[in-house]
Amino acid sequence: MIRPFFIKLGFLLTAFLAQITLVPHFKIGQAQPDLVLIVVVTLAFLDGALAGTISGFTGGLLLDLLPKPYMGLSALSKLVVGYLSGLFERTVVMENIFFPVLALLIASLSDRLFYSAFIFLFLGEKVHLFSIFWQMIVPSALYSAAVAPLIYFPIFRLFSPKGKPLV
Amino acid sequence: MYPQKSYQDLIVLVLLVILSIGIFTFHFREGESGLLHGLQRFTMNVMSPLQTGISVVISPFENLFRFIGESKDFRSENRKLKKELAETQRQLTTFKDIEKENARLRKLVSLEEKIAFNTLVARVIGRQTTEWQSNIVIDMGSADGIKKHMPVLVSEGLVGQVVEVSRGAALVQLIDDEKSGEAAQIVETGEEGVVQGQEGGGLRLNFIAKSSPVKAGDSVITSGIAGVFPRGILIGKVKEAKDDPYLMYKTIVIEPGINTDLLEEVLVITDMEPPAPFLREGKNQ
Repeated sequence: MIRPFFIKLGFLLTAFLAQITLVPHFKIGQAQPDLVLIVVVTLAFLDGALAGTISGFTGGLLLDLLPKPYMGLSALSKLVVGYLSGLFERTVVMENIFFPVLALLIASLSDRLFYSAFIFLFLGEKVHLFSIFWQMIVPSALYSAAVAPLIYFPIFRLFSPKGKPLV
Repeated sequence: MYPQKSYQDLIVLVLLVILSIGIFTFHFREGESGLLHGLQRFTMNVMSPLQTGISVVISPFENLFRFIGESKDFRSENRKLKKELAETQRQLTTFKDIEKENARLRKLVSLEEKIAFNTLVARVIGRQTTEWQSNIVIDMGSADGIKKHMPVLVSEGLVGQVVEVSRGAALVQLIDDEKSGEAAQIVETGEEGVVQGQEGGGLRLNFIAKSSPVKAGDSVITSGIAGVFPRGILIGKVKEAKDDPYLMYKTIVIEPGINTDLLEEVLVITDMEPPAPFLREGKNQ
């Protein structure tokens, strides 16, 4: 019980370190994948809404520790996406290759749109949402979706119980 | 009725949402010397050696990804260069116009002023680029004499300004960060305005009158007003200048003189300390 917890925490910390050290070197144009979100969503699909919420909060807070404005907002957006992803625990086809791709596409779009909408609605920041959406949010979501199987399937194989029912 | 597990999940969700909003509010309201800002600087200090090491190891593999991202730019740049070549050949035949343009540029662009300050060479060890920020991390900090608000540039033009400093590293806000702002001047027309970053990248030059004769290709430099940046550093070239009937000023888009993705080493001007940061009014760093 305790050992899987620390392994999952290790995945989250590794994703965070890779996000801040490796990922900036592999941008394609303005797009970069969100490795922390991939791990959060994977854990949510495996263990449910509570795991998604806590891992989302933890992963987002780690990213918020970097010098930037709006500390706490990444934690908020990722915990919400983690919770919502966890509601789909054991209800979808998890071993299909397209599943993590589609799931991360939706999760990444939701995470970035939530973040941007919060800034616009509650902080009154002037936002050119249309240009940001097509120039950065969509390309990054596609990049995350493309990278997702590389992270999702190893974690899934490691922690999914044998005989897990498929819909 | 929800099962008990769902109630527990909802309670945890609500508690963590409240905690996140609490952290956000506390960070927003505390000063830069506050606990959370200090924690962010500490994290940057701890991470900088790791970023330096990874940066050295990963740079050979990075070029492949840069090529993928820039291949579209290469094709469009090739078309643009062919057009520019034809235009330059036409201009060469009109000697007097080129001479007048040269004399006007020499009067305005004071390149010697740009290199009249002491500088430090710093290496870029990290990048933070999202929809809402455009920053780089350099491997020099307070132990090397770096202080907040110090200007940062390369030979191709202005890079940005130091906004956070820890002992061994510093955070530089790039000119295309949407919270940055620089006093600028159009070289060809002499008009002055403010260059600001836009969400999603890119630069915009504000407060230029609609009657301005500014056109695409004109150079934009720092004007030196407010003493934040030395005068004469290239910011970029006008990419597009148009009139919007609903706006008071001309809409001018600037192509930056530097490619922020290709920054490897930068110069930090260490003997020019402005009295106040030239950022947009009311925004926190």
